[in-house]
Amino acid sequence: MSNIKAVIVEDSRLARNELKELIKKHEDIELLGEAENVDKGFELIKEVSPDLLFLDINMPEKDGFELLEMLDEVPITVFTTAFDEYAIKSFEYNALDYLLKPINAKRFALALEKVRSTLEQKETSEINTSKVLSNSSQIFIKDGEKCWLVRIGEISLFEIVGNYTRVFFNSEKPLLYKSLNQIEEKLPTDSFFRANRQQIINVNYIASVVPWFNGKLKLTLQNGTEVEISRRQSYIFKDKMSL
Amino acid sequence: MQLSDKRRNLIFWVLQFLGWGFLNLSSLLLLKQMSIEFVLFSIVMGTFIGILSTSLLRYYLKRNIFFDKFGLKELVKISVSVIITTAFYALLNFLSGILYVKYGPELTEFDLKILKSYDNFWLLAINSLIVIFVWVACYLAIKLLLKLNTDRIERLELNTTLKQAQLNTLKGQINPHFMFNSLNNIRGLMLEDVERSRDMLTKLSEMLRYSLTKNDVNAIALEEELEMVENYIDLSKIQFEDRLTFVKEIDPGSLNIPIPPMIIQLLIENAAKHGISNLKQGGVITLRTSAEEQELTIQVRNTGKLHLDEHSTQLGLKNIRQRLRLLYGELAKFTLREEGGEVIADIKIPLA
Repeated sequence: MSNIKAVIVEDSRLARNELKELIKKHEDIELLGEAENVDKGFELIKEVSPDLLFLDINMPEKDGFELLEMLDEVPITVFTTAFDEYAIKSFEYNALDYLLKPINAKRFALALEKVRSTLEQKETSEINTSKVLSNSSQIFIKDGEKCWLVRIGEISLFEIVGNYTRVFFNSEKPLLYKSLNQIEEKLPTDSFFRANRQQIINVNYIASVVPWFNGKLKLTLQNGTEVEISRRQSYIFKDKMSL
Repeated sequence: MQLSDKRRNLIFWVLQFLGWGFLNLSSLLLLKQMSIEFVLFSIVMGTFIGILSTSLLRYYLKRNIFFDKFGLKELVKISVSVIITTAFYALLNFLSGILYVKYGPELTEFDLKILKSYDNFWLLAINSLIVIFVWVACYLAIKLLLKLNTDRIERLELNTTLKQAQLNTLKGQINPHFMFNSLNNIRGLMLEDVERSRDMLTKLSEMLRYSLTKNDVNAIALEEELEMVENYIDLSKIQFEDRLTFVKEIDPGSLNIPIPPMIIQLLIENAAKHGISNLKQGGVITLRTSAEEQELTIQVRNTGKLHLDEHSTQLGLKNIRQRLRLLYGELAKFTLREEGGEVIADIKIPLA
Protein backbone atom coordinates (compact mmCIF):
# COMPACT_ATOMS: atom_id res chain seq x y z
CA MET A 1 0.00 0.00 0.00
CA SER A 2 1.25 3.43 -0.85
CA ASN A 3 1.95 6.09 1.73
CA ILE A 4 -0.88 7.97 3.36
CA LYS A 5 -0.66 11.65 2.54
CA ALA A 6 -1.52 13.76 5.57
CA VAL A 7 -1.78 17.42 6.56
CA ILE A 8 -2.18 19.15 9.92
CA VAL A 9 -4.38 22.18 10.50
CA GLU A 10 -3.83 23.46 14.04
CA ASP A 11 -3.12 26.94 15.38
CA SER A 12 -0.69 26.11 18.15
CA ARG A 13 2.85 25.50 16.92
CA LEU A 14 3.72 23.31 19.88
CA ALA A 15 0.63 21.20 19.36
CA ARG A 16 1.67 20.72 15.73
CA ASN A 17 5.13 19.63 16.88
CA GLU A 18 3.53 17.25 19.32
CA LEU A 19 1.46 15.73 16.53
CA LYS A 20 4.47 15.49 14.19
CA GLU A 21 6.34 13.63 16.89
CA LEU A 22 3.52 11.10 17.06
CA ILE A 23 3.35 10.78 13.29
CA LYS A 24 7.09 10.07 13.08
CA LYS A 25 6.52 6.66 14.64
CA HIS A 26 4.29 5.65 11.72
CA GLU A 27 6.40 5.35 8.62
CA ASP A 28 3.54 5.04 6.17
CA ILE A 29 2.24 8.51 7.04
CA GLU A 30 3.73 11.15 4.83
CA LEU A 31 3.21 14.66 6.15
CA LEU A 32 2.72 16.98 3.20
CA GLY A 33 2.24 20.19 5.08
CA GLU A 34 0.80 22.05 8.03
CA ALA A 35 -1.31 25.16 8.41
CA GLU A 36 -2.02 27.41 11.38
CA ASN A 37 -5.46 28.58 10.40
CA VAL A 38 -8.45 27.58 8.31
CA ASP A 39 -7.75 29.75 5.26
CA LYS A 40 -4.17 28.52 4.95
CA GLY A 41 -5.42 25.00 5.58
CA PHE A 42 -7.97 25.33 2.78
CA GLU A 43 -5.28 26.39 0.29
CA LEU A 44 -3.00 23.59 1.41
CA ILE A 45 -5.69 20.93 1.03
CA LYS A 46 -6.69 22.20 -2.40
CA GLU A 47 -3.06 22.07 -3.45
CA VAL A 48 -2.04 18.64 -2.21
CA SER A 49 -5.39 16.80 -1.86
CA PRO A 50 -4.36 14.73 1.16
CA ASP A 51 -5.90 11.41 2.19
CA LEU A 52 -5.89 12.35 5.83
CA LEU A 53 -6.50 15.57 7.74
CA PHE A 54 -5.62 16.20 11.38
CA LEU A 55 -7.86 19.07 12.34
CA ASP A 56 -8.12 21.22 15.44
CA ILE A 57 -11.58 22.61 16.21
CA ASN A 58 -10.79 25.91 17.94
CA MET A 59 -8.82 28.20 15.70
CA PRO A 60 -8.77 31.97 15.15
CA GLU A 61 -11.55 33.46 12.99
CA LYS A 62 -12.82 30.19 11.52
CA ASP A 63 -13.12 26.86 13.28
CA GLY A 64 -12.45 23.36 12.05
CA PHE A 65 -16.04 22.76 11.01
CA GLU A 66 -15.96 25.80 8.78
CA LEU A 67 -12.93 24.36 7.00
CA LEU A 68 -14.88 21.18 6.27
CA GLU A 69 -17.78 23.25 4.97
CA MET A 70 -15.47 25.06 2.57
CA LEU A 71 -14.20 21.83 1.03
CA ASP A 72 -15.99 20.09 -1.85
CA GLU A 73 -14.52 16.77 -0.90
CA VAL A 74 -13.52 16.04 2.65
CA PRO A 75 -10.45 13.89 3.32
CA ILE A 76 -10.59 11.35 6.12
CA THR A 77 -10.59 13.64 9.12
CA VAL A 78 -9.31 13.08 12.62
CA PHE A 79 -10.19 15.88 15.00
CA THR A 80 -7.71 16.83 17.65
CA THR A 81 -9.23 18.73 20.52
CA ALA A 82 -8.48 19.59 24.12
CA PHE A 83 -11.98 19.59 25.52
CA ASP A 84 -14.84 19.99 23.10
CA GLU A 85 -17.27 17.27 23.86
CA TYR A 86 -20.06 19.49 22.68
CA ALA A 87 -18.55 20.02 19.24
CA ILE A 88 -17.82 16.35 18.76
CA LYS A 89 -21.31 15.37 19.83
CA SER A 90 -22.87 17.61 17.22
CA PHE A 91 -21.97 14.92 14.73
CA GLU A 92 -25.15 13.10 13.86
CA TYR A 93 -23.81 10.70 11.36
CA ASN A 94 -20.52 8.96 10.65
CA ALA A 95 -19.03 10.34 13.81
CA LEU A 96 -15.47 11.26 13.03
CA ASP A 97 -12.59 9.95 14.92
CA TYR A 98 -11.24 12.40 17.40
CA LEU A 99 -8.22 12.49 19.63
CA LEU A 100 -8.06 14.32 22.91
CA LYS A 101 -5.00 16.41 23.59
CA PRO A 102 -2.54 15.52 25.01
CA ILE A 103 -2.81 12.55 22.69
CA ASN A 104 -2.30 9.03 23.95
CA ALA A 105 0.14 7.20 21.59
CA LYS A 106 -1.92 4.01 21.71
CA ARG A 107 -5.13 5.78 20.80
CA PHE A 108 -3.29 7.56 18.03
CA ALA A 109 -2.13 4.21 16.60
CA LEU A 110 -5.71 2.87 16.78
CA ALA A 111 -7.07 5.89 14.95
CA LEU A 112 -4.47 5.40 12.21
CA GLU A 113 -5.40 1.73 11.96
CA LYS A 114 -8.97 2.77 11.19
CA VAL A 115 -7.75 5.30 8.64
CA ARG A 116 -5.70 2.61 6.89
CA SER A 117 -8.59 0.19 6.59
CA THR A 118 -10.91 2.91 5.30
CA LEU A 119 -8.37 3.89 2.68
CA GLU A 120 -7.81 0.29 1.59
CA GLN A 121 -11.53 -0.15 0.98
CA LYS A 122 -11.54 3.03 -1.00
CA GLU A 123 -8.61 1.95 -3.16
CA THR A 124 -9.99 -1.44 -4.03
CA SER A 125 -13.38 -0.04 -4.94
CA GLU A 126 -12.17 2.60 -7.34
CA ILE A 127 -9.38 4.90 -8.25
CA ASN A 128 -10.24 8.50 -7.82
CA THR A 129 -9.50 10.51 -10.91
CA SER A 130 -9.69 14.21 -11.61
CA LYS A 131 -11.93 16.59 -9.74
CA VAL A 132 -15.07 14.53 -9.87
CA LEU A 133 -16.20 12.88 -6.64
CA SER A 134 -16.36 9.11 -6.41
CA ASN A 135 -18.89 6.99 -4.56
CA SER A 136 -16.51 6.69 -1.63
CA SER A 137 -15.72 10.40 -1.44
CA GLN A 138 -17.23 12.06 1.56
CA ILE A 139 -18.87 15.43 1.81
CA PHE A 140 -19.52 17.48 4.93
CA ILE A 141 -22.96 18.89 5.63
CA LYS A 142 -23.79 21.28 8.42
CA ASP A 143 -27.45 22.14 8.83
CA GLY A 144 -28.13 24.28 11.88
CA GLU A 145 -26.46 22.73 14.88
CA LYS A 146 -26.08 19.28 13.37
CA CYS A 147 -23.24 17.92 11.26
CA TRP A 148 -22.95 14.96 8.95
CA LEU A 149 -20.13 13.39 6.98
CA VAL A 150 -21.71 11.44 4.16
CA ARG A 151 -20.22 9.18 1.52
CA ILE A 152 -21.51 10.08 -1.91
CA GLY A 153 -22.53 6.46 -2.52
CA GLU A 154 -24.91 6.60 0.45
CA ILE A 155 -26.95 9.43 -0.98
CA SER A 156 -30.14 8.39 -2.77
CA LEU A 157 -31.53 11.74 -3.86
CA PHE A 158 -30.71 15.44 -4.23
CA GLU A 159 -33.61 17.87 -4.44
CA ILE A 160 -33.78 21.64 -5.08
CA VAL A 161 -34.98 23.81 -2.19
CA GLY A 162 -34.78 27.42 -3.32
CA ASN A 163 -31.12 28.11 -4.00
CA TYR A 164 -30.01 25.16 -1.92
CA THR A 165 -30.25 21.41 -2.05
CA ARG A 166 -31.79 18.85 0.23
CA VAL A 167 -29.72 15.69 0.55
CA PHE A 168 -31.46 12.38 1.26
CA PHE A 169 -29.54 9.51 2.82
CA ASN A 170 -30.67 6.79 5.21
CA SER A 171 -33.46 8.51 7.10
CA GLU A 172 -31.75 11.89 7.16
CA LYS A 173 -32.42 14.85 4.89
CA PRO A 174 -30.31 17.88 5.80
CA LEU A 175 -29.97 21.00 3.68
CA LEU A 176 -26.72 21.60 1.82
CA TYR A 177 -25.87 25.21 1.07
CA LYS A 178 -24.96 24.62 -2.56
CA SER A 179 -27.05 24.71 -5.72
CA LEU A 180 -28.12 21.53 -7.46
CA ASN A 181 -26.18 22.49 -10.59
CA GLN A 182 -23.03 23.04 -8.56
CA ILE A 183 -23.44 19.57 -7.09
CA GLU A 184 -24.25 17.92 -10.41
CA GLU A 185 -20.88 18.94 -11.88
CA LYS A 186 -19.04 17.01 -9.20
CA LEU A 187 -21.12 13.85 -9.05
CA PRO A 188 -19.95 10.58 -10.66
CA THR A 189 -22.08 10.12 -13.80
CA ASP A 190 -22.25 6.35 -13.58
CA SER A 191 -24.32 6.48 -10.39
CA PHE A 192 -26.12 9.80 -10.53
CA PHE A 193 -28.75 10.86 -12.98
CA ARG A 194 -30.57 14.15 -13.43
CA ALA A 195 -34.21 13.05 -13.39
CA ASN A 196 -35.73 16.49 -13.89
CA ARG A 197 -35.02 20.11 -13.09
CA GLN A 198 -35.58 19.56 -9.39
CA GLN A 199 -33.98 16.22 -8.67
CA ILE A 200 -30.87 14.12 -9.09
CA ILE A 201 -31.20 10.45 -8.22
CA ASN A 202 -28.72 7.73 -7.38
CA VAL A 203 -29.55 4.90 -9.82
CA ASN A 204 -28.32 2.33 -7.29
CA TYR A 205 -31.29 3.20 -5.07
CA ILE A 206 -34.04 2.66 -7.63
CA ALA A 207 -36.62 0.11 -6.56
CA SER A 208 -38.91 0.16 -9.59
CA VAL A 209 -39.54 1.93 -12.90
CA VAL A 210 -42.94 2.28 -14.57
CA PRO A 211 -43.96 4.03 -17.82
CA TRP A 212 -45.88 7.25 -17.18
CA PHE A 213 -47.74 9.74 -19.41
CA ASN A 214 -46.28 11.23 -22.61
CA GLY A 215 -43.36 8.84 -22.73
CA LYS A 216 -42.23 9.86 -19.29
CA LEU A 217 -41.04 7.41 -16.67
CA LYS A 218 -41.84 7.20 -12.99
CA LEU A 219 -39.34 5.79 -10.50
CA THR A 220 -39.78 4.61 -7.00
CA LEU A 221 -36.71 4.76 -4.78
CA GLN A 222 -35.96 2.20 -2.10
CA ASN A 223 -37.11 4.60 0.60
CA GLY A 224 -40.48 4.91 -1.12
CA THR A 225 -39.94 8.35 -2.68
CA GLU A 226 -41.51 8.69 -6.12
CA VAL A 227 -39.62 10.60 -8.79
CA GLU A 228 -40.95 11.57 -12.19
CA ILE A 229 -38.40 11.73 -15.00
CA SER A 230 -38.93 14.52 -17.52
CA ARG A 231 -39.63 13.47 -21.10
CA ARG A 232 -36.28 14.47 -22.48
CA GLN A 233 -34.41 12.77 -19.64
CA SER A 234 -36.58 9.65 -19.99
CA TYR A 235 -35.09 8.91 -23.42
CA ILE A 236 -31.60 9.34 -22.08
CA PHE A 237 -32.44 7.21 -19.06
CA LYS A 238 -33.82 4.35 -21.17
CA ASP A 239 -30.73 4.52 -23.30
CA LYS A 240 -28.39 4.56 -20.35
CA MET A 241 -30.10 1.71 -18.56
CA SER A 242 -30.58 -0.09 -21.87
CA LEU A 243 -34.31 -0.46 -21.26
CA MET B 1 -49.52 23.27 36.88
CA GLN B 2 -49.71 25.58 39.82
CA LEU B 3 -53.01 27.31 40.49
CA SER B 4 -53.02 30.86 41.67
CA ASP B 5 -55.06 31.68 44.77
CA LYS B 6 -57.53 33.58 42.66
CA ARG B 7 -58.20 30.61 40.42
CA ARG B 8 -58.40 28.29 43.39
CA ASN B 9 -61.08 30.50 44.87
CA LEU B 10 -63.02 30.59 41.64
CA ILE B 11 -62.90 26.82 41.32
CA PHE B 12 -64.02 26.44 44.92
CA TRP B 13 -67.12 28.57 44.38
CA VAL B 14 -68.03 26.88 41.14
CA LEU B 15 -67.78 23.45 42.74
CA GLN B 16 -69.68 24.71 45.76
CA PHE B 17 -72.63 25.95 43.72
CA LEU B 18 -72.66 22.95 41.42
CA GLY B 19 -72.47 20.48 44.29
CA TRP B 20 -75.13 21.97 46.46
CA GLY B 21 -77.28 22.80 43.48
CA PHE B 22 -77.30 19.21 42.25
CA LEU B 23 -77.88 17.79 45.70
CA ASN B 24 -80.93 19.98 46.22
CA LEU B 25 -82.28 19.59 42.71
CA SER B 26 -82.76 15.91 43.60
CA SER B 27 -85.90 16.95 45.43
CA LEU B 28 -87.35 17.56 41.97
CA LEU B 29 -87.75 13.79 41.85
CA LEU B 30 -90.49 14.14 44.41
CA LEU B 31 -92.22 16.86 42.40
CA LYS B 32 -95.32 14.86 41.68
CA GLN B 33 -96.20 14.46 45.29
CA MET B 34 -95.05 17.83 46.61
CA SER B 35 -96.44 21.26 45.94
CA ILE B 36 -94.38 23.30 43.49
CA GLU B 37 -93.92 26.08 46.01
CA PHE B 38 -92.45 23.75 48.56
CA VAL B 39 -90.05 22.21 46.02
CA LEU B 40 -88.79 25.63 44.98
CA PHE B 41 -88.41 26.69 48.59
CA SER B 42 -86.47 23.52 49.42
CA ILE B 43 -84.12 23.97 46.49
CA VAL B 44 -83.33 27.60 47.15
CA MET B 45 -83.18 27.33 50.92
CA GLY B 46 -81.30 24.02 50.88
CA THR B 47 -78.66 25.35 48.50
CA PHE B 48 -78.32 28.55 50.48
CA ILE B 49 -77.98 26.80 53.81
CA GLY B 50 -75.52 24.27 52.42
CA ILE B 51 -73.30 26.89 50.87
CA LEU B 52 -73.45 29.17 53.88
CA SER B 53 -72.53 26.56 56.46
CA THR B 54 -69.79 24.84 54.46
CA SER B 55 -68.29 28.13 53.37
CA LEU B 56 -67.95 29.07 57.02
CA LEU B 57 -66.38 25.69 57.59
CA ARG B 58 -63.93 26.27 54.78
CA TYR B 59 -63.08 29.69 56.19
CA TYR B 60 -62.03 27.96 59.39
CA LEU B 61 -60.28 24.97 57.79
CA LYS B 62 -58.32 27.11 55.39
CA ARG B 63 -56.78 29.07 58.26
CA ASN B 64 -56.27 26.23 60.70
CA ILE B 65 -55.47 23.04 58.80
CA PHE B 66 -52.16 22.65 56.96
CA PHE B 67 -50.88 19.40 55.56
CA ASP B 68 -47.31 20.26 56.45
CA LYS B 69 -48.00 19.24 60.01
CA PHE B 70 -50.89 16.85 60.24
CA GLY B 71 -51.46 15.12 63.58
CA LEU B 72 -53.95 14.34 66.26
CA LYS B 73 -54.48 18.04 66.91
CA GLU B 74 -55.57 18.64 63.34
CA LEU B 75 -57.83 15.60 63.43
CA VAL B 76 -59.54 16.93 66.56
CA LYS B 77 -59.89 20.37 64.97
CA ILE B 78 -61.51 18.85 61.89
CA SER B 79 -63.86 16.64 63.92
CA VAL B 80 -64.98 19.47 66.18
CA SER B 81 -65.53 21.84 63.26
CA VAL B 82 -67.49 19.15 61.40
CA ILE B 83 -69.75 18.60 64.41
CA ILE B 84 -70.33 22.32 64.90
CA THR B 85 -71.07 22.80 61.21
CA THR B 86 -73.41 19.83 61.25
CA ALA B 87 -75.32 21.32 64.16
CA PHE B 88 -75.46 24.67 62.43
CA TYR B 89 -76.59 23.10 59.18
CA ALA B 90 -79.27 21.04 60.89
CA LEU B 91 -80.49 23.99 62.88
CA LEU B 92 -80.82 26.20 59.83
CA ASN B 93 -82.72 23.47 58.00
CA PHE B 94 -85.00 23.02 60.95
CA LEU B 95 -85.66 26.75 61.23
CA SER B 96 -86.32 27.05 57.52
CA GLY B 97 -88.94 24.33 57.88
CA ILE B 98 -90.64 26.24 60.67
CA LEU B 99 -90.43 29.42 58.61
CA TYR B 100 -92.21 27.74 55.70
CA VAL B 101 -94.92 26.29 57.84
CA LYS B 102 -95.60 29.64 59.48
CA TYR B 103 -95.45 32.01 56.55
CA GLY B 104 -95.58 29.75 53.48
CA PRO B 105 -98.58 28.76 51.45
CA GLU B 106 -100.83 25.90 52.39
CA LEU B 107 -99.23 22.50 52.77
CA THR B 108 -100.12 19.32 50.95
CA GLU B 109 -100.24 16.12 52.88
CA PHE B 110 -96.91 14.98 51.48
CA ASP B 111 -95.26 18.28 52.32
CA LEU B 112 -96.37 17.82 55.86
CA LYS B 113 -94.96 14.32 55.98
CA ILE B 114 -91.57 15.56 54.87
CA LEU B 115 -91.62 18.47 57.26
CA LYS B 116 -92.54 16.10 60.08
CA SER B 117 -89.39 14.16 59.47
CA TYR B 118 -87.46 17.33 60.34
CA ASP B 119 -88.91 17.04 63.79
CA ASN B 120 -87.16 13.76 64.30
CA PHE B 121 -83.90 14.88 65.94
CA TRP B 122 -81.79 11.81 65.11
CA LEU B 123 -82.87 11.59 61.51
CA LEU B 124 -82.02 15.22 60.98
CA ALA B 125 -78.70 14.92 62.83
CA ILE B 126 -77.49 11.86 60.94
CA ASN B 127 -78.62 13.24 57.61
CA SER B 128 -76.76 16.48 58.21
CA LEU B 129 -73.69 14.72 59.50
CA ILE B 130 -73.43 12.55 56.39
CA VAL B 131 -73.77 15.55 54.10
CA ILE B 132 -71.18 17.63 55.93
CA PHE B 133 -68.83 14.69 56.30
CA VAL B 134 -68.86 13.96 52.58
CA TRP B 135 -68.30 17.63 51.88
CA VAL B 136 -65.25 17.75 54.17
CA ALA B 137 -63.86 14.56 52.65
CA CYS B 138 -64.09 16.03 49.14
CA TYR B 139 -62.67 19.34 50.29
CA LEU B 140 -59.67 17.78 51.99
CA ALA B 141 -59.01 15.38 49.10
CA ILE B 142 -58.89 18.21 46.56
CA LYS B 143 -56.77 20.29 48.86
CA LEU B 144 -54.34 17.42 49.38
CA LEU B 145 -53.98 16.81 45.63
CA LEU B 146 -53.23 20.46 44.96
CA LYS B 147 -50.77 20.49 47.82
CA LEU B 148 -48.93 17.44 46.47
CA ASN B 149 -48.68 19.09 43.08
CA THR B 150 -47.30 22.31 44.55
CA ASP B 151 -44.78 20.32 46.57
CA ARG B 152 -43.56 18.54 43.47
CA ILE B 153 -43.03 21.81 41.62
CA GLU B 154 -41.23 23.31 44.58
CA ARG B 155 -38.96 20.29 44.77
CA LEU B 156 -38.06 20.66 41.10
CA GLU B 157 -37.32 24.35 41.54
CA LEU B 158 -35.15 23.63 44.53
CA ASN B 159 -33.20 21.08 42.50
CA THR B 160 -32.54 23.62 39.79
CA THR B 161 -31.34 26.16 42.30
CA LEU B 162 -29.01 23.60 43.82
CA LYS B 163 -27.54 22.74 40.44
CA GLN B 164 -27.04 26.41 39.74
CA ALA B 165 -25.19 26.77 43.01
CA GLN B 166 -22.94 23.86 42.15
CA LEU B 167 -22.25 25.38 38.76
CA ASN B 168 -21.32 28.61 40.43
CA THR B 169 -18.57 26.92 42.38
CA LEU B 170 -17.38 25.14 39.27
CA LYS B 171 -17.14 28.40 37.42
CA GLY B 172 -14.40 29.59 39.70
CA GLN B 173 -12.14 26.79 38.58
CA ILE B 174 -9.70 26.51 35.74
CA ASN B 175 -11.25 26.18 32.35
CA PRO B 176 -10.64 22.55 31.28
CA HIS B 177 -9.99 23.59 27.71
CA PHE B 178 -7.17 25.81 28.90
CA MET B 179 -5.77 23.14 31.18
CA PHE B 180 -5.60 20.40 28.56
CA ASN B 181 -4.24 22.73 25.92
CA SER B 182 -1.54 23.83 28.36
CA LEU B 183 -0.62 20.25 29.19
CA ASN B 184 -0.42 19.41 25.50
CA ASN B 185 1.68 22.47 24.75
CA ILE B 186 4.04 21.66 27.58
CA ARG B 187 4.45 18.20 26.13
CA GLY B 188 5.35 19.75 22.79
CA LEU B 189 7.67 22.24 24.46
CA MET B 190 9.62 19.42 26.08
CA LEU B 191 10.89 18.50 22.65
CA GLU B 192 12.67 21.82 22.31
CA ASP B 193 13.17 23.44 25.70
CA VAL B 194 13.14 21.19 28.73
CA GLU B 195 13.99 23.95 31.20
CA ARG B 196 11.08 26.10 30.09
CA SER B 197 8.72 23.12 30.11
CA ARG B 198 9.62 22.41 33.71
CA ASP B 199 8.92 26.02 34.54
CA MET B 200 5.54 25.85 32.80
CA LEU B 201 4.56 22.73 34.71
CA THR B 202 5.25 24.58 37.95
CA LYS B 203 3.11 27.49 36.83
CA LEU B 204 0.25 25.21 35.87
CA SER B 205 0.48 23.52 39.27
CA GLU B 206 0.37 26.88 41.00
CA MET B 207 -2.72 27.83 39.06
CA LEU B 208 -4.41 24.58 39.94
CA ARG B 209 -3.56 24.99 43.59
CA TYR B 210 -4.79 28.58 43.62
CA SER B 211 -8.10 27.72 42.02
CA LEU B 212 -8.61 24.76 44.36
CA THR B 213 -7.77 26.58 47.58
CA LYS B 214 -8.89 30.14 47.01
CA ASN B 215 -12.20 29.29 45.48
CA ASP B 216 -14.17 29.62 48.69
CA VAL B 217 -12.23 32.54 50.12
CA ASN B 218 -14.06 35.86 49.82
CA ALA B 219 -11.10 38.21 49.57
CA ILE B 220 -7.46 38.05 48.67
CA ALA B 221 -4.71 40.66 48.25
CA LEU B 222 -4.56 41.95 44.69
CA GLU B 223 -0.85 41.10 44.63
CA GLU B 224 -1.61 37.42 45.10
CA GLU B 225 -4.16 37.44 42.32
CA LEU B 226 -1.56 39.07 40.07
CA GLU B 227 0.75 36.08 40.46
CA MET B 228 -2.04 33.87 39.25
CA VAL B 229 -2.63 36.16 36.29
CA GLU B 230 1.08 36.10 35.39
CA ASN B 231 1.00 32.32 35.43
CA TYR B 232 -2.00 32.30 33.20
CA ILE B 233 -0.40 34.71 30.73
CA ASP B 234 2.85 32.72 30.62
CA LEU B 235 0.95 29.53 29.91
CA SER B 236 -1.18 31.26 27.29
CA LYS B 237 1.99 32.47 25.61
CA ILE B 238 3.08 28.94 24.84
CA GLN B 239 -0.29 28.50 23.10
CA PHE B 240 -0.46 31.85 21.29
CA GLU B 241 3.31 32.54 21.12
CA ASP B 242 3.92 35.89 19.41
CA ARG B 243 0.19 36.40 18.90
CA LEU B 244 -0.13 37.49 22.52
CA THR B 245 1.39 40.61 24.05
CA PHE B 246 0.71 41.39 27.67
CA VAL B 247 1.07 44.86 29.15
CA LYS B 248 0.48 45.67 32.79
CA GLU B 249 0.23 49.02 34.51
CA ILE B 250 -0.11 48.31 38.20
CA ASP B 251 -0.57 51.05 40.76
CA PRO B 252 1.74 50.09 43.67
CA GLY B 253 -0.90 51.45 46.04
CA SER B 254 -3.35 48.81 44.88
CA LEU B 255 -1.21 45.76 45.66
CA ASN B 256 -2.46 45.21 49.18
CA ILE B 257 -6.12 45.91 48.57
CA PRO B 258 -8.32 42.86 49.14
CA ILE B 259 -10.32 41.74 46.11
CA PRO B 260 -12.55 38.70 45.39
CA PRO B 261 -10.24 35.92 44.14
CA MET B 262 -10.30 34.83 40.47
CA ILE B 263 -11.96 38.06 39.40
CA ILE B 264 -9.03 39.56 37.46
CA GLN B 265 -8.19 36.08 36.30
CA LEU B 266 -11.67 35.69 34.78
CA LEU B 267 -11.37 39.02 32.97
CA ILE B 268 -7.98 38.04 31.52
CA GLU B 269 -9.33 34.64 30.55
CA ASN B 270 -12.25 36.28 28.74
CA ALA B 271 -9.85 38.62 26.96
CA ALA B 272 -7.74 35.70 25.77
CA LYS B 273 -10.63 33.41 24.87
CA HIS B 274 -12.91 35.88 23.12
CA GLY B 275 -10.27 38.35 21.99
CA ILE B 276 -6.82 37.00 21.17
CA SER B 277 -7.76 33.45 20.26
CA ASN B 278 -10.07 34.74 17.53
CA LEU B 279 -7.42 36.91 15.88
CA LYS B 280 -5.06 35.40 13.34
CA GLN B 281 -2.55 38.18 13.93
CA GLY B 282 -3.08 38.15 17.67
CA GLY B 283 -3.26 41.23 19.86
CA VAL B 284 -2.56 42.93 23.16
CA ILE B 285 -4.04 42.36 26.60
CA THR B 286 -3.56 45.28 28.98
CA LEU B 287 -4.15 45.10 32.71
CA ARG B 288 -4.33 48.33 34.67
CA THR B 289 -5.12 48.91 38.32
CA SER B 290 -5.47 52.18 40.15
CA ALA B 291 -6.36 52.90 43.74
CA GLU B 292 -8.00 56.17 44.62
CA GLU B 293 -9.42 57.36 47.87
CA GLN B 294 -12.86 55.96 47.37
CA GLU B 295 -12.45 53.06 45.01
CA LEU B 296 -10.20 50.58 43.30
CA THR B 297 -10.39 50.37 39.50
CA ILE B 298 -9.35 47.25 37.64
CA GLN B 299 -9.29 47.53 33.89
CA VAL B 300 -8.61 44.77 31.37
CA ARG B 301 -8.40 45.68 27.69
CA ASN B 302 -7.89 43.44 24.71
CA THR B 303 -7.66 43.87 20.97
CA GLY B 304 -10.84 42.74 19.27
CA LYS B 305 -14.54 43.32 18.94
CA LEU B 306 -17.23 42.97 21.53
CA HIS B 307 -19.72 40.48 20.21
CA LEU B 308 -21.75 38.69 22.78
CA ASP B 309 -22.16 35.36 21.14
CA GLU B 310 -25.64 33.94 21.55
CA HIS B 311 -24.14 30.47 21.84
CA SER B 312 -21.93 31.51 24.70
CA THR B 313 -23.45 31.02 28.11
CA GLN B 314 -21.67 34.13 29.41
CA LEU B 315 -21.05 32.23 32.60
CA GLY B 316 -17.86 34.17 33.20
CA LEU B 317 -19.56 37.56 33.02
CA LYS B 318 -22.50 36.41 35.11
CA ASN B 319 -20.14 35.00 37.69
CA ILE B 320 -18.28 38.30 38.01
CA ARG B 321 -21.49 40.32 38.35
CA GLN B 322 -23.00 37.93 40.84
CA ARG B 323 -19.99 37.85 43.09
CA LEU B 324 -19.57 41.60 43.08
CA ARG B 325 -23.20 42.01 44.00
CA LEU B 326 -23.01 39.47 46.79
CA LEU B 327 -19.95 41.11 48.29
CA TYR B 328 -20.56 44.81 47.73
CA GLY B 329 -24.25 45.15 46.93
CA GLU B 330 -24.86 48.02 44.52
CA LEU B 331 -21.59 49.76 45.36
CA ALA B 332 -19.36 47.79 42.98
CA LYS B 333 -19.58 48.30 39.22
CA PHE B 334 -18.72 46.10 36.29
CA THR B 335 -18.92 47.34 32.70
CA LEU B 336 -17.90 45.87 29.37
CA ARG B 337 -17.62 48.02 26.26
CA GLU B 338 -15.89 48.32 22.91
CA GLU B 339 -13.82 51.37 22.10
CA GLY B 340 -11.33 52.00 19.30
CA GLY B 341 -10.82 48.37 18.30
CA GLU B 342 -10.50 47.29 21.88
CA VAL B 343 -12.80 45.55 24.32
CA ILE B 344 -12.60 47.20 27.72
CA ALA B 345 -13.74 45.63 30.95
CA ASP B 346 -13.88 47.83 34.04
CA ILE B 347 -14.44 46.81 37.61
CA LYS B 348 -14.82 49.38 40.35
CA ILE B 349 -14.73 48.22 43.93
CA PRO B 350 -15.50 50.57 46.84
CA LEU B 351 -12.78 50.99 49.45
CA ALA B 352 -14.13 50.73 52.97
